[in-house]
Amino acid sequence: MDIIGWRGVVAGVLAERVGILSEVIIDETLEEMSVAEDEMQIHMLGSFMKHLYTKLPNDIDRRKLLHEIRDSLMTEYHLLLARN
Amino acid sequence: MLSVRSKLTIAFSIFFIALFAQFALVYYFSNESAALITQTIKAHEQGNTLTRLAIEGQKLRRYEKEFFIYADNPDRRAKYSGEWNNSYGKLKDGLALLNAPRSIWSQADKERAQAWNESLNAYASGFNKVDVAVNNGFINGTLAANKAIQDAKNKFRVFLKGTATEIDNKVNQARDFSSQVEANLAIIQKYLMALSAAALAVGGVLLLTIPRAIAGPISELTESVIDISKGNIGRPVTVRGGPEVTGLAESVERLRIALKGLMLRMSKLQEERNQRTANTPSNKPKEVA
Repeated sequence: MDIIGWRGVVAGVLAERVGILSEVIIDETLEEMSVAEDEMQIHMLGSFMKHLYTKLPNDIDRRKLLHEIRDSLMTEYHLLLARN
Repeated sequence: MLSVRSKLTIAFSIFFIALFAQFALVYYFSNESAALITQTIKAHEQGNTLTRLAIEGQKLRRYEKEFFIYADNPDRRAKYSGEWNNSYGKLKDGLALLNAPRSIWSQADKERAQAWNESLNAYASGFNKVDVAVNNGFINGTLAANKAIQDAKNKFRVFLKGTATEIDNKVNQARDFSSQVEANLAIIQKYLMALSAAALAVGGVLLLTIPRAIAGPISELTESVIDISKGNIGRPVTVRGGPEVTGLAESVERLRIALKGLMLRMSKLQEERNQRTANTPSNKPKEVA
């Protein structure tokens, strides 16, 4: 199942911590996964989070940020995601 | 932590409340004291008037005694009778003033003055009868004259005792009013000192904290921004302070992280580009045959 607008949700949370870098990080993560933005499926989100974790800067609390992204996605799409 | 705006609002509110409390306190107690001072002056004036009346009353008694002492001496007798009538006239005028429509006297005072007037009339009537009797030779000698006026003299005691008591009352009233004014002034002084001390204490605390709360975080933030502008992007921007400054600090920290991430990616790209350039066949050194 495609999830429409997921990028906006993730970028919104990321931007709170890393500002303009958020879009770059998402692009890099998708590139690493070899997945296009509109191809993102629910079952890929766990993998996306794992790749995203490696792309985040060390200056921030990455685990906390991933939890925030997961919570935002759950709220937005009523999803049940596995905890990282 | 409170914002700078909240701190300033609290500080100014405290000062306004303190100022208003001082104004209300001074206004209320000064008005009350002004009324009390007016009453004190009035009681003093009344006391003075009554004292003058009491003195005239005592003069009457003295002239009456002199009249009787010189009962056998027509010239001296006539002199003291004249003096008596003179004081009597003054007393009547004084009592009439007490009953004037727009006077400073209360209804109770006026009723007392009425009783004194009747007492004076009874005494004057008695004295005039004795005066006529002595002048016509019906009464001879001091003792006989003294005995004849006894009844009228007793009636005059109402005036003499009444005025003496009322003078005491008026003096006591004036003293009480003055004491209340003193008490009011003491209250004003006490509360003004307490309010001023509280305002000074709060002002002192705010004077120490507010400039520090504004200038401290701003100078910390300025240092961080200067560092970033010089390329030192490794140090996180952490500023403690009110929400205004911490909000700005968070934004600067976001910019720093983004800048650092972009710079890392740029160097990585550059490295990759260099690698690719180095690996292109045209750039490889040709093997010597």
